[in-house]
Amino acid sequence: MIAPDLKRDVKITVLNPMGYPPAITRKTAAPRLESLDGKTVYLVDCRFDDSIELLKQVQAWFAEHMTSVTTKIISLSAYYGHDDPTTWDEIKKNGDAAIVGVGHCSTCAPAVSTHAITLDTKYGVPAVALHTDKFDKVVKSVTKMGGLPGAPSVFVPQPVMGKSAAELRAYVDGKDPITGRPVMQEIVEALTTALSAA
Amino acid sequence: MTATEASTPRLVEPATEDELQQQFLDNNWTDKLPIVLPTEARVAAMLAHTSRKPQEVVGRMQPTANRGLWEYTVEKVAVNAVMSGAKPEYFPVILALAASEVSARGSTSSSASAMVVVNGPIRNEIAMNSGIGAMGPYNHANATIGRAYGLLSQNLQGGSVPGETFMGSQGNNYTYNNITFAENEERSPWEPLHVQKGFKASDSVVSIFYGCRSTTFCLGVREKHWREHVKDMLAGVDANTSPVLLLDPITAQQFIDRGNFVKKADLIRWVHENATMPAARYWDLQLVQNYVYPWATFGREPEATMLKAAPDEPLRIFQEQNINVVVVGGEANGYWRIMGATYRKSVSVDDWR
Repeated sequence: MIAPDLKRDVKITVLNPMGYPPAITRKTAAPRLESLDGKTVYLVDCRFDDSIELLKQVQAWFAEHMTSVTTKIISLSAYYGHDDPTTWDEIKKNGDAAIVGVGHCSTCAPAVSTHAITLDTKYGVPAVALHTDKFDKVVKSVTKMGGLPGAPSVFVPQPVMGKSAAELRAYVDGKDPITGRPVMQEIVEALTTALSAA
Repeated sequence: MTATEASTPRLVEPATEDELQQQFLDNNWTDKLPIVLPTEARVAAMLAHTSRKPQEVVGRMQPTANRGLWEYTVEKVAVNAVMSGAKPEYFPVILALAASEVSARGSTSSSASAMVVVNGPIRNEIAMNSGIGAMGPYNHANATIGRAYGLLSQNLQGGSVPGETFMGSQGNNYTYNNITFAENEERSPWEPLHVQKGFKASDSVVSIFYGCRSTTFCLGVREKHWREHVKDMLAGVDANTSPVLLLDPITAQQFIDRGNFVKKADLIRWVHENATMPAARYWDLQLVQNYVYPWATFGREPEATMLKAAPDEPLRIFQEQNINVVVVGGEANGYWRIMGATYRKSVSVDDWR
């Protein structure tokens, strides 16, 4: 608020209080699949709140709409905040692509995106991160800092926790609240369409 | 990148005081209260109270894991210390907090706050309060050191902006000054916190807790039913964040009288053994499902063994090494609280003088 009565019109110099951002190392995403036909897609449960319940509905969608796709739900070995090479090795060995979810808290959304980037850039497995819409800005920042700003991220409405199977299925059948495009179309495209350099 | 190669400009474009106050507000560089503008002279005065060089790197911080660690120097900490209104003689305490690399502006959606306990000679050197009103806005050092910790955390980690770098769903009023106070060592019947953490009594130390949300409260320690009363209070502490007993000296003495807790460790053992919950109820807690159960299935102990308990078997909720006791208050009465807060780190203040 300006206080004209004080007549403090002398310009002064002050110091900037912000710290120094980290250097970002750019990474390269894995090549995308030509299609998901006959492929095995891992659904990676980060174990926060009811993530696995949403992934079950994604699995159900594949069973109904893309019957040639094999889906396997796998839960992280431990707490989502830790890297999980054992799980990544299994996916690399037995799978063709991965859907990692759900990022629906301030710490698990960064972890979910980081795990997806790890699978994509270190293990060569095309991956997409599934989040709720409250965390879109968080996810953008994390993928940028993680060196893969174009890392595919798909959003469903918040909350996931406590929702019924039917409600979660509606999320999966519905549209991404951020882009307005169908959630499953975005997921399939994320695994099969070359990523932009953005 | 090192701080010497830093991309953040050292100075803000010259402007009037009013314009700069508005600019700091608009840039989300404040806690939305007016700040003291960090002029070069004020920052220099702050820097005069440490032997460390202005461009020395103090540490790195981020709002949560995977957000990217921002780096900061002694001078950057001084800028934020000035903004908080802190006196230069508080600066070694503020530097020690910055050196902890524990953010007081964590972005957990649970809206946690830090809590800072100061021990040792520095408490009296800078006239901190450990008595009446110690955890309230009645002492300049307590108030501004805690505020400085918040400001330096948000600015040095790259921001704390709702929806972007802060996702605390409800927010937390404790974060205005991060519950910063001195332990009342003079009136405590037990050894002070920093000695429990491995320092000498003559050392000056800051100890940082994080996760302050749940708080329970009581008056006194009653002769007949004190055990049940304390157990009831412990049931109000979230199971994923261990209890810190904040005891007025009157209450500390009452615990000795009632339970013969000659040492703090005796009381801590009692809390560990008596804070229990039936296994089925414990494992069903959402926070336990999110943060404890995954480790249990991973095989980490003692969680893995706890998972084998029968549904009705009482489980000990808090591990002994995670429970803490701090004496604070001015003996106006025997009121006391239990704060759910995880001990994170203790840092020497003397190293930053």
